[in-house]
Amino acid sequence: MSMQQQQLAIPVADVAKRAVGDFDNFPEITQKSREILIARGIT
Amino acid sequence: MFPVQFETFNHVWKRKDLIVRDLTGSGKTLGFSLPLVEFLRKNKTLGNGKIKAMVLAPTRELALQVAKEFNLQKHHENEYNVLTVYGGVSIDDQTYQLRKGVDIFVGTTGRILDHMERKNFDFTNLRTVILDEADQMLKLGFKEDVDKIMFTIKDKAPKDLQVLLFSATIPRWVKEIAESFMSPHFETIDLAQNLKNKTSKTVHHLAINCPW
Repeated sequence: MSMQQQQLAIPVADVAKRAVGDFDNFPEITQKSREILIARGIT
Repeated sequence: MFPVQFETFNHVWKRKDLIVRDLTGSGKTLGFSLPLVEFLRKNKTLGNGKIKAMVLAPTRELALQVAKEFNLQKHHENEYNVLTVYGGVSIDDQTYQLRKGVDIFVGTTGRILDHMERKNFDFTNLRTVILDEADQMLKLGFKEDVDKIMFTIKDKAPKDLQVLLFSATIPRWVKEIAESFMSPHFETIDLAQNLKNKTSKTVHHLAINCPW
């Protein structure tokens, strides 16, 4: 991205990612599902 | 887990009707699919080839993305069948798959209506219907299609059908859908009301000034 483009590029979304909890809050999620989600980088 | 996933889990699991307002790209697909699959898994109804969950999506791309998420949660390859239907491709292959047995069905409104007219669906085991990006359906002109689909489903499905509705905005029509098809005790989760911007934080947005 050129300097001019950088100056013109306006990031619209300004809200940080809002991770709020993990699987421990939900005993309904099976162990196998947890393993699959963690392997996908979801915690 | 993102807020939409955290906030919706127990409601979906407890089979509450729900309106969720959050931005596109906020992780809502996992928010409804995870508790739904775990609920069906616990009740040992996954894999019997009868439609138990149906997702209406405004576009083919979203339908494919939702189906992919359901598929990624399988404990083994044959645990359950997910079918995605959309227009522009042969309806015969989709009909064959439906007759062979489908547990979770994801589709765009026009093609769902086609299948309904051909009586390809059996809704007697349907437990949950999800309207994903409902405001986009309205914007794209699918209001009448969605109304028709919902009336048919409500007529044919069990009386305790759960309705989940996800939308970035809540226009009047979305409220009407809720009033017509949801339990009067439906819950509302609004994760977009306090945000300065109504755009997703996980999608990189750039505005470039064009001189012409």
